[in-house]
Amino acid sequence: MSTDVIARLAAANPVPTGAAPPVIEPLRVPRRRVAVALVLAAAVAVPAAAFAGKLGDLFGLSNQGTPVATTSLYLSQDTQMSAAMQSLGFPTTLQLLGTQNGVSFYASRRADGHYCFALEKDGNRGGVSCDLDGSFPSPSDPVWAFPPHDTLAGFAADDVATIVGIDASGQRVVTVPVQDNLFAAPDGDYTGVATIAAFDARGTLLWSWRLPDR
Amino acid sequence: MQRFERIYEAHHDAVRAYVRRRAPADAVDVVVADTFLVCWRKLDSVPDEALPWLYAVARKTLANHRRKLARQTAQRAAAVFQPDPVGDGVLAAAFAELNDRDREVLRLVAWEGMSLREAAAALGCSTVACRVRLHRAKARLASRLEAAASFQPDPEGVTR
Repeated sequence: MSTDVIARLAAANPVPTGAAPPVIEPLRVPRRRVAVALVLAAAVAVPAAAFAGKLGDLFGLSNQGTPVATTSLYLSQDTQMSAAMQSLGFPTTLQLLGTQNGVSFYASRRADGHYCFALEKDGNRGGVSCDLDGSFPSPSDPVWAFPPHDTLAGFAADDVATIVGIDASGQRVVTVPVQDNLFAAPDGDYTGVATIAAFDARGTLLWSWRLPDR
Repeated sequence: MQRFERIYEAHHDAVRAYVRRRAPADAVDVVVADTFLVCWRKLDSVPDEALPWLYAVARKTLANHRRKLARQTAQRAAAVFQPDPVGDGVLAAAFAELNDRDREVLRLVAWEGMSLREAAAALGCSTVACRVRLHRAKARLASRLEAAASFQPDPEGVTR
């Protein structure tokens, strides 16, 4: 009877093992926590390469940005985000590369030479990530994208003209132009985006990335 | 750093499923992210067999999340939400009557498919203790199921 109990319970598993990844429900968590959610997903999803030299050369980006103190970011005032930034070894100064659709883009290099990225949206939420082992930018990895939630945003190398978000069924969810090496989709629900693809100005597919949890 | 990536890639889906079996949909992203944030910070103490350790962290993170939610919301029911076994109403009712300890060891074995040793690691107890806990939990659930099966409603009903 007891063994049957386990079998019966297993048959009633609300999330069966090996089931197809679910469509992620629209995120309704406090926005501050969304930012934390972005931290790890971005940090592990995008590998990177060793960088050297000034910012523009290192990123393979034309956009040089302007320096700002890390402490001036909203994210650094948030307890959890600040702790995450400390864990990741964020530098004390970041380069503000620009703002699009309410998203401000920051990048800089930490003490070990690895790079860190931050996004702030509407000045009240955002995400951070750091380069782990270095591959951005390269032909095989020309885009540094943050996992899409209420925006689809990130950094792209000079050759990238367009970013496309694609859902699990292969349908195009959003197309975002790259401007000054940055891209940010208008406000929306992008939790259904399962793959991010990058195209050059001629429409040639340069890169695609299947999000690990979608 | 590469180790963290390996752990994340290998176990993210399992941890997410674990949380989805125990938490409302709008809490899943937060709890999973916090679980891996702990993993990131304590990478040196993560054992080679990381999944039970991650489950243990997720369980504590989920408990913290529920406590925080209970403080923040007047709708306490939302804070203690746990997905039921699906498609088997009798089982769901019997399962709901068990205490948290019983439910968790049963979930780990039946839903996460863990061995006794793995479940023990996730629960932070010895394998022997886990075996005893599982045995008792199964017996209690079986007892409730048997009681439900033998239940005969009063033909007169309960109206007086």
